[in-house]
Order: sequence, then C-alpha cells, then structure tokens
Amino acid sequence: MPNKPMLKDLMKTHGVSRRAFMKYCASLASVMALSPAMVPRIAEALENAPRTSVIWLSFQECTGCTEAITRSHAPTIEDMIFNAISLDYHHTLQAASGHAAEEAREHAMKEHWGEYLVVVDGSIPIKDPGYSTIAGISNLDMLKDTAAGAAAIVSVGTCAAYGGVGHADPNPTGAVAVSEIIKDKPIINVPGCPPIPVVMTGVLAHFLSLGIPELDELGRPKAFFGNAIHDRCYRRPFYDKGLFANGFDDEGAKEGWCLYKLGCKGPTTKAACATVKWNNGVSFPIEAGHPCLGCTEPDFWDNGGFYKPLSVPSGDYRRLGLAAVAGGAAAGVAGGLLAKATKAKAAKAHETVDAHDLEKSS
Amino acid sequence: MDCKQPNDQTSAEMADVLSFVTTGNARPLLHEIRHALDKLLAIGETTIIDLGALPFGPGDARELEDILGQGEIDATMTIMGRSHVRETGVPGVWRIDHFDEEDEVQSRFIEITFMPDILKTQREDAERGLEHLRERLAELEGNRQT
Amino acid sequence: MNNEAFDLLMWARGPAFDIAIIIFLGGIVLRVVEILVLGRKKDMAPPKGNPVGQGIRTVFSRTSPPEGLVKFAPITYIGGYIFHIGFFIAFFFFAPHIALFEDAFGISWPGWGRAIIEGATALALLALIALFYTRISDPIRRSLTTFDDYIVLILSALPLITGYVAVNKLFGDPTFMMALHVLSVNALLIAFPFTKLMHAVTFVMARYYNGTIQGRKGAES
Repeated sequence: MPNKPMLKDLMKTHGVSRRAFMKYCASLASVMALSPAMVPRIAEALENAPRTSVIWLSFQECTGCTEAITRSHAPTIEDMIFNAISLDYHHTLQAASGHAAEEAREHAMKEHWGEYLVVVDGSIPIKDPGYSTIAGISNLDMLKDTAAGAAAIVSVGTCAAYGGVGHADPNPTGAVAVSEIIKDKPIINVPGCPPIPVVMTGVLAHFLSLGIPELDELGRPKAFFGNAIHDRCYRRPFYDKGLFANGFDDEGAKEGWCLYKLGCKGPTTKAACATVKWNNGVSFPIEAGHPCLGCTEPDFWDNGGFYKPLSVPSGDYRRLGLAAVAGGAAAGVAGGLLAKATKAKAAKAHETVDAHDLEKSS
Repeated sequence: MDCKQPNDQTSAEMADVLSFVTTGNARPLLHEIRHALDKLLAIGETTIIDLGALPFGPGDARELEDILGQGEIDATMTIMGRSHVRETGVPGVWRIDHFDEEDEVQSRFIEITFMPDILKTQREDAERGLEHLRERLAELEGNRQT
Repeated sequence: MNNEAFDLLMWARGPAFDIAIIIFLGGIVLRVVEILVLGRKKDMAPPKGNPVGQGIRTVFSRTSPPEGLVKFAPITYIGGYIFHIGFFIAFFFFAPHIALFEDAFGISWPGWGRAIIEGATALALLALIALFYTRISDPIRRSLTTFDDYIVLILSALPLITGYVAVNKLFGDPTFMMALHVLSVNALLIAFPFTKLMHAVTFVMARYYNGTIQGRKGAES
C-alpha cells in the first residue's frame, strides 16, 4: 500500500524531534538489553516502519493490565506510538461501545488484514462461551475471528499467557490461555499480574522495530524474562549469608533480609522486576517487603501457597506421617509377634541330633 | 527503601559506607575504555558502552568518577526529559545520562568519540527549523504588506 | 502452557513427598518395633555391674574410634567423619531446610552462610568419593560390598550433588534441578528403612545393647 502512513511522519506531526527519537532508541536498546551497536538498526527499522494497527482484546480479565499500561505517566515515545498512533480498538479505553466499537474492530481488520497486531488480555472461557461475551460475541469466537488476519499476537498478562486466575483450580469457567486456542500464529507471551508497563511497551516497540523478539520455552521475550528474580535481587547477599526474615514484623524483616522463608518465589520466577522495577524504577514487591508471588509463571495461583517456602512440602504430609507412624507400629508388632511364633514353632519341632544321626544320614 | 526509616545522620553514614561497595567491575570497564580510545585514535571508530548492562555498585561509580573526572564540556539537554552530556577529564570519553520527564534515570552510556551524535543538530530537526522560520517570516512579512 | 520443570517440582514436593514420608516413617517404626517385640530372654541373674549406665555411655563413647584403627584405615575413619559431619551441616543448617523443619515441627534455628554450607557439601562429596574408592580398590572390601551398599552410596550422594547444582545453577534449568533434588531426597527417604541407611536410627539400639552386655559383669542366666 503506497499511501500507508509511515511512523516517521506520524512522529513528526506529534512534534517528536530527531534527538528525542535518538534518545528513545538508545534507552530502548538499554531496556531490551541489546548492545548499543544495535541502536542504528533499531532507529532505521522504526523510521521505516509503517503505522501498525493494534487491536486490543479484553476477555476474562480485571483490567489490571490496561490500568498498568496507561500508568506510564510521562508521554514517552512508546506510549505515543502505542496509544495515539496504533491503537485502533480497545473497548475499555475507546469512547465507543457495543456494536459501534465492534465496527471499529472490523474496519481495522479489513483494512490491515494479515498485518495487524492483536494484543489480548484475559483468559478465554471454553466450558460455556456465554460466561464472557462482548456485544453478544463470545470471547472464543472473537479471538478466532480476529486472530485469523493477525501478523502476530501478544498475550499480555498471565491470564492471556497461561490462563491466570481464571484457570486456577477448580477453573469453573474452563478458562484457557490464548496459546491453547490459536496454534497457527506467532504468540509473544508477556506474563505478569500485571506485567511491568515498560516491559509491555518495550515488547511492542521491539515488535515494531526488529520483529518478534527471542522467546524462551514459555513464549516470553528473553530480554525481560531471561533471569530469575533471585539472581538479580538486591536481597540476595542476605540469602547467601543465611540471614532471613521469619515474619513480616520481626528484626529480619526490619533489617531487609531475605524473604525466602516467607514464601518468596524469586528462585523459580523469571521476570525483570528486580532490575527494571515498577513505577519508573521506584521499587518492586520484594523491596517493599513482600515475597515474590511468582506471577509471571504458569499456574502461580496453585503453586503450593504464596507464603509457603519453596522448600516446604506442599501436601498434607504431617497427617499422613502420623498415620504412617501408627500403621508402622501396628505392622511392627504384628511382624514381631509372627516372628516370635515362628521361632516358638521351630523350637517345638526341634529334634535332638547327635553325631550318630549325622553319620547315618551322610 | 526498606521499612526502616533512618535519620539523616545514619543515612549519610550509610551513603558513605555504601560508596565503598564494589563489584570490582570498574577496573575492567576502564580497560575497555582505554582500548576503545586506542581504537578511536587509530581508526576513528566510535564505541558506546551501556552502563545499564553491567552490575555496578556505588563504589564502582565512585572509582570510575575518580579516574575519569570532569572535562571541559558539560551540557544539559531538554529532550523529552533531561539528558546530561559531558566530556570527562579524559578527552574523547563522554558520559551520557538520559532521564525521563520525571527525572528518573532512563539509560546511561559511556561514549568514546570525538563528538557524540546527540549533541549535533540533526538534519531533520534543522529542516523543520528552516520550515518554521520561513513560516514565521512569511507571517511577519505578510502582516507588514497588509 | 505449562512449566514442566515447576510441575515436576510441585509433584516432588507434593504427592511424591507424601508417599516418601509415609514409607520412611512407617518403615522406620515398623523395623524398630519389630526388633523390640522380638526382645531378649528375661535375665534372671542380678547383674554385678551397671548395665544401663554402661549402655548409655557406650552410645556416645563409640562415636570416637578405637585406638589404632584410624591409622589402620585412615580413609574409612576420617572420610566417614567428614561425610557425616558435612551431610549433617548441609542438612540441618541450610535455611531452606530449616524452613521445612519449622513447617513440620514448629521449631527453628538460625541458618548458616552459603560458604559454610557449600564447603560442607563439597567436603562431604569428596569424602564419599574417597570412601567409594577404598571400597573398590581394596579387594577384601570389594568382595564384602553388596549391591545394597552401592545403592546407598549413590542415594546419599545424589541429594548433595543436585542441591549443589541447583543452588549454584551449574547446569540445567534451576527449577528442574531443584525438582531433581527433592526427588533424590524422596528416593533416599524411601530406601532408608530397608537398607543400611537404617543405621542412623538403629545405631543407638545396637550400641546400647553392646554396652549393657559389657556393663553387666557376671553370668547371665
């Protein structure tokens, strides 16, 4: 399409100077953990990128992800690209609703068929599609319809990526992740409850500039989900020294020691919280004194309890252990008595043998 | 900050103690800078080092600052938030710190170059400036004619 | 989408641990009770000495080696001490393990630093290797070694190796290595009552029994 608006021109009309663009590209590379040598490539790709249409679908969700992404207070460039330039449909944010909003979605789809980006937050109920509908269209149908013409899908938040709270036991709605339904499109998972805003926009910018980022086995961009929280945590030295908080108000908690024994899931959780942090780098849960819940991992709601240390058994082992002691004692008495009886029987059946008998038998 | 609320005196002491916390990364970084400066002088190649990419303690920052020092140029730029560009005491080695609109650090770089690109006026910006100037002049002269 | 490594960890610390702890506790109690029920014949003659006191004393005194034997079999004795002390330190003073005891019994104690725990683990492993070496290099010991002994040796080494690898992220996915660590402990728990590992419980009974015989002084009837 020759008359497609280019990102470069759109940015110019929004008053973004070339210097601001350079600064943005440099910071973007830094945030995405790319080498500064990549900056010219990012800049060139972004400059020559056409305006990409973004369709944001909200299914079984709490709007926390949308809240998070709109909380990047400063009008940064990624925010501008995303909100002002690319976003064609987002029923929570747009003024139109119901059928009028659906028309906007259909229009965007028709216009950019095969090229638009679909962002999904929320899980999809498949037990009964009636559990969640928009303008009378079930989530399942809307996802299938919209995904058919998408270039790629970004599953934002743990619900869209792995099913999240909807998928938690006993999963009354039969909630599933996007990847359970759509199998023929590239899917980028950006889990988190919610994800860090800069991670969401960073992934989007990566998609626009350099295409689909390198993903791990759980479909997450390695740049943001490459390291365990535990390995980047500023409280890690306390773990290594054996200094732990044993409660939320004890001396250890006040000293800022490691929260492992309060159930911190940092060792098994991959996310950028400890490095990128939240609210423009102010803090993150562990810094605020709360153990990591592991919200970027599949089934984090059912992973043995938020406040149970990772090393503690998650089953009902105490009751079972007591039962085993009782059962073992009973079996031991029975076994002992049986052995005694056998011994007595053997003693009774004992015949005296002397040397003559032995000689006879040999 | 942790739950503890230190008073000013202890936090000053704390900052002093912290300034000795090092990861030992300053020394290899300084060597990397030396190599880059060698390369700049030999073949004119510019090197950019992302300070956000390596673990760096307050003590490392201090050691780096002690050795590089302050040079002749110190520029503050206002580009969607503040940006701080300054030449260190080693000419050819520049510190570039980008801040966002809320003055939080966005990214930090060391650039080994004769002139950081971001300091130069960009062609597109100059073109837009020219356009703007022409418009204003046209307005001005149009007004005078009527 | 599932994180298979984490699911394995959840299985290891959930159902698998439940099964292991049932077999471990039930098995120990079964074997101890069985031994006690079998009992000894009643001794009608009054002892001249103090068998109970000597029995209790022997439980502790046998912890130090008999004179001359350290020189005779240095690797067995010194390696044995290092392994047991190292294993004990790693098991009881690593904070995540203490968290387990706290959850089970409600008691806790301060953990030790990583340097000590990892040093103890490494020493225990080196000792195990040395003990294994003396077992196979000495023809007499080798002929005395049963299949059981090799199993016990491997089962004692695995938790140390997997734990060390998981904490230091030497190789493999750390969550997967943590799952392997818990599984290896489960295997150790299951094997415990039915192998020579049982000595960790029965050594008290055996030493006491031997002590009482020595402390008895006088004819038995």
